[in-house]
Amino acid sequence: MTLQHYLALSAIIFGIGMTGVLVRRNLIVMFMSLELMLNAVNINLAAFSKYLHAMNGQVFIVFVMAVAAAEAAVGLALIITLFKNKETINADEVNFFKG
Amino acid sequence: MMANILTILIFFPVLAAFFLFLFFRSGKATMWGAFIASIIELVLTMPLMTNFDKSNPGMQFVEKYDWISSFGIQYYVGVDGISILMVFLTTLLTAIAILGSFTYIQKRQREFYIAMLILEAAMVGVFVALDFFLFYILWEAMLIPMYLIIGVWGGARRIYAAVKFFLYTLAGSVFMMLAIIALYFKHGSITGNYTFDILAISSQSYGGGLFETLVFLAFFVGFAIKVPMFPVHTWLPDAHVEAPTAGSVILAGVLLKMGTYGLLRFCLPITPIASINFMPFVAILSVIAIIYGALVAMVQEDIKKLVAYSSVSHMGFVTLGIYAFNQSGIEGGILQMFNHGIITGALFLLIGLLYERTHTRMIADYGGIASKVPVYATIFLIFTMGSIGLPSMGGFIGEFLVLVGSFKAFSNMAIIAASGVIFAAVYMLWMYQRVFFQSYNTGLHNLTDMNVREVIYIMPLIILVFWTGIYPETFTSYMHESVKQLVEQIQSIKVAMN
Amino acid sequence: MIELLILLAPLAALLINGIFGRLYIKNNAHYIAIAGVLVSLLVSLITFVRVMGGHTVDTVVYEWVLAGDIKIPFGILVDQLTAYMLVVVTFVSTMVHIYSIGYMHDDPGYWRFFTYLSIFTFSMLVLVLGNNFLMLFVGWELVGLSSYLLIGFWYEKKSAADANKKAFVVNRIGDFGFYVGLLLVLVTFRSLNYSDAFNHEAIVHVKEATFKVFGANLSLLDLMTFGLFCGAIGKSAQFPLHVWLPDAMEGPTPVSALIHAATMVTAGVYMVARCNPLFAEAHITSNIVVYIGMFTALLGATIGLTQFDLKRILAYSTVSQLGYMIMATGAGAYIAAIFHLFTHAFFKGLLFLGSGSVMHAMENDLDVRKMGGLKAKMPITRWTYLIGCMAISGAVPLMSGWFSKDEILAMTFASGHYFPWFVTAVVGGMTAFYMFRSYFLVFEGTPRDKHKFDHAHESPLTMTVPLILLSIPAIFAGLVFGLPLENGIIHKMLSHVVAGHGEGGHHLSHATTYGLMALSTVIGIIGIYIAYVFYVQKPDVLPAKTAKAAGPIYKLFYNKWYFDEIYQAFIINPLVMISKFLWKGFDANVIDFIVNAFGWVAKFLGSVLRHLQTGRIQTYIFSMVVGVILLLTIFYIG
Repeated sequence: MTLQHYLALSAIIFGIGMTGVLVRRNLIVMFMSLELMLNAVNINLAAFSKYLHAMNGQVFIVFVMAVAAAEAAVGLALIITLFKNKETINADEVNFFKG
Repeated sequence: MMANILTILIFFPVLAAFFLFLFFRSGKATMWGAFIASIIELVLTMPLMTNFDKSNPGMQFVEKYDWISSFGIQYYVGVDGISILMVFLTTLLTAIAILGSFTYIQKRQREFYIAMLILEAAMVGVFVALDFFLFYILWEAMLIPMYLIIGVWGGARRIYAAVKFFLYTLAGSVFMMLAIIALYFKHGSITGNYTFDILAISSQSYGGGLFETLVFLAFFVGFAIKVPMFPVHTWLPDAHVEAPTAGSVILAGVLLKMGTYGLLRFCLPITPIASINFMPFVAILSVIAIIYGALVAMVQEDIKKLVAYSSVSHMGFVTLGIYAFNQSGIEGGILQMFNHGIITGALFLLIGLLYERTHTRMIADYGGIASKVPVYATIFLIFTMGSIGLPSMGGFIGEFLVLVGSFKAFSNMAIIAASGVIFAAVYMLWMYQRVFFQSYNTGLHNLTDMNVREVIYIMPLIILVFWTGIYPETFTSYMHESVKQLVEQIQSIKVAMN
Repeated sequence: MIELLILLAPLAALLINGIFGRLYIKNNAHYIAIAGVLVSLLVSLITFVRVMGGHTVDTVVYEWVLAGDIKIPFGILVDQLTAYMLVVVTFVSTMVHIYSIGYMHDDPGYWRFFTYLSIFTFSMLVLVLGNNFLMLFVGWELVGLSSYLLIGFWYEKKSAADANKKAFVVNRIGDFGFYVGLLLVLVTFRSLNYSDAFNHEAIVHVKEATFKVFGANLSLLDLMTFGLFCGAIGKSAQFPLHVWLPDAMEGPTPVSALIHAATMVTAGVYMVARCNPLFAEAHITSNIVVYIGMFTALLGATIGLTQFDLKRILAYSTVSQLGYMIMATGAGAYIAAIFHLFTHAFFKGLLFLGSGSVMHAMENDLDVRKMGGLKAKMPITRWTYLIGCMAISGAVPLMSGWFSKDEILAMTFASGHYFPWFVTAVVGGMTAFYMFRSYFLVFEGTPRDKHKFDHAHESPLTMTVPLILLSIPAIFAGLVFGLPLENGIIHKMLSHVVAGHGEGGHHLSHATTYGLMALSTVIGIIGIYIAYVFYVQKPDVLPAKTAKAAGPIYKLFYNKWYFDEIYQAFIINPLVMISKFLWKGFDANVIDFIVNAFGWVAKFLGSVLRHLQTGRIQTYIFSMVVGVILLLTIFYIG
């Protein structure tokens, strides 16, 4: 397993995640795709950390995971509130901030 | 305690406001709480005044702590002879303005008094800050409560006035911020010491080239808006007319002084060469303000607007005096700042309490009220005369010193400025006649004379206006040394330039 | 420092009355005010005697204004000139105080009136006692304030409210000049103390100096004195700022007597006399002073000829007499000016108080056409008024005015100002005419308003006693102080103050002096005789006929030379128009237009850019991704 393998995997996962965010309209699915992108980044960080023999990358992963957890909590809460008020989680219909 | 007196003065109102916010539920209780807090603040100013060493031209009661040391930002405060009177004026007028709002403010009382206390803290901070970063934060922080006071408790066009006030001053502060950042880097690159320390930055010479000119102009625009100088004065009448009484008092009494204080504290010491180059320009603008403000005041139909325009005229004297660059001019300017705060503050209070009774400020709606409200009429006359610059009252001494100073520096300007004494008499007395004299306008109901509370809050101002007129040395003695140092600094540069 | 008491007594009275008057003292205010002014009078008399003995005072009470090299004390100067002014001010003031007890007795503002009188007395005394220009200016402005308060005493009347504003503002125009003069004194002599400014060496030093003002190089001394003199033009009601004084008659009559006849309006004369070392060296200004004085004397007299309001007649006669004094100062006859100021204070105060007494009897009507024959009803008023008329006319030898006015004429002649001498000599005849015209119309002849005549009565003692007391100096002041001619007590004393150039250095032979005096006496007698013919012998025919014959000139005089109308049309109205334009045109439409334009630009940009905001998250994310890719590409290619 070379570094390239890891990077390729990470790129593929990132691409899947980004496509998901861009094309799907369901907020929960978009949210999950976002998590995928974050994890792709994490894979990159872990891979570099291993091959460069530096711990910084792994420390960052912890940060990213913590942020992701917080984000999940806040994001899901927002989506639930949104659903309660609007009875929809379709991103296209949630445009009431449009100027 | 004396070592930390300035910090106490800055933070006590904030803490008091916080305390009131947390523990006081009713508007009335907050009102009294805020009044007591402002009185304590005023009392705390007294040891500052009495322990001040008048023979020391430098900063006193200095406190200096590192704050964000990687950027050279410090918590650095101190007072000298120029700022101490302004601190006193701030705490005095805030206490009086709060007492004067007891019946005027009827809605959202808690919020109002908390805003007043926070405003007070920021104002005191602006006058004592010796670090540009701290100064700028407080300068901007001051805007917010003032904006709210005009915008929430103001008159019919309060939103327009508040936004106009906010945008005008913000536009000024943007320039000021640019100047501060430019100075930070310039000073850092010259000395290798990147710091926001105002005194350190002031002590460095910037060569008088394009850089200094630009910095001067940026500062000048910011302060000129605040003063306000012609032609950036149009926010003032609107803000004054719409603001509640306390807002007008603070606005006229303290906020305007920050502009001239800024000229003294920053423009003169930091950019002396540019200041000297722009001396005729500033003098001309000041003289225009004096005459223009007086003429426009003459034809106003709203009493408050009249006094607002008269402020433009009076502040023109201050800037004229400061830019005379001699001791009598600058001392006269500072004294005029102090007196204008007292006299105009008192006039706004008086107009406010009349407005509370009649709900109109139009001169045409009044007439002959002197017979109904003799005490009020007498006190109003005292301050009218003070505003005209009648000798034996403070306004005269300030005006006189300014004219002496400016006459030495630019006699023609001083002569034109002196004609302001005619116009001042015209607009003030014409207004006084139409409001107080002639036959009683029967359309005015329920006109009652001043009550005890109102007499109490106006009394200190009456005493002060005569005190400064009869024995001004009590107040000028604070500034002699500091001003002398400043004048010597500028004059030596002026000599070097020639 | 006993002199300080002169100031402190009225100050104490005004503070007590001012603070406690409305609620507690009320109708007892006169006790306090009179006590104050009596103390001042007594100390002034003591001071006068001490000054006669050569004891003068120049002392600093405390340092008042300090800033850099400027050091202005609150100081007191008592010399011969001050001594005379002190006596005039406190004596007339005391008389007026006593008179006011009767005159104002049922006025609701009784306490207020006495408070204002105390303010005036105090201010006037500051004016004469100060030892520097700034204190003079303080007194100068404060008497302006008290004049403002007292003219507007009955402020419900629109005319009174207009008049007091006019008085203050017109005075301020003069004060503007005074202010500039003061600044010039300060920068020239580096001090405002009389002792520094009137220093002979210092004056010689700056004699040839010039001062650049608005590009023109003018003589420093002339400019300085002209500035100071502008103050006198305002305060002493000289042309062209004389318009306020007649209107000031809206105030209560005792006030007219005290402020607008005897004391305050003579402050200008006092000031010029005080500054005589400066004026004596300023030849251009002195000439201007002479001609302004002359013209004012003429102006006042011509208008006085035609008026029907008793107080206005007296007011214009005051304007005219002040013109005499000012002219004398311009001609270098400072002592003659002060002498006339001294005698004028007594007889003019007397005349005004007499007119007040008449007014009291006539139910506040002042129209002389409705009076007549009052001598039967009010003998004391009649006799004292007659004494006043005789004194002012200068036609009755040995009366006070005869000495002082003739001295002015003689000195003007001696100084070589023949034309001003001629004009004012003629004006002397007019003075005699219109003063006796008023006397004949009021007291002689037959009553023209039967109803009012029947109700007329002599005034109470509080009013007649001051009349009698004032008529004593009105008769004898000249005899006591002015004999021998041009070398009386007053001349000897004042020669200390105007040392070196006493009467302008001009001397006339005795024959010329006596000739001039005889001439002006004859002119005065002719004036009285014409008045007698017009108003006693043929009152129904001659005046109307003459007025008709004089046509436009009569109209010009009767309408006060249209000064008020001219000022209204050419100064006030344009100024108001300009101001309105500046406010509504410039402030609102130019400056605020620019300010609002910023707002409009921001709004416009916003309205364009808002379309970019679709509200769809995916659009935003997509543009972000595109942006990142673009940046990366640029980064790699670049």
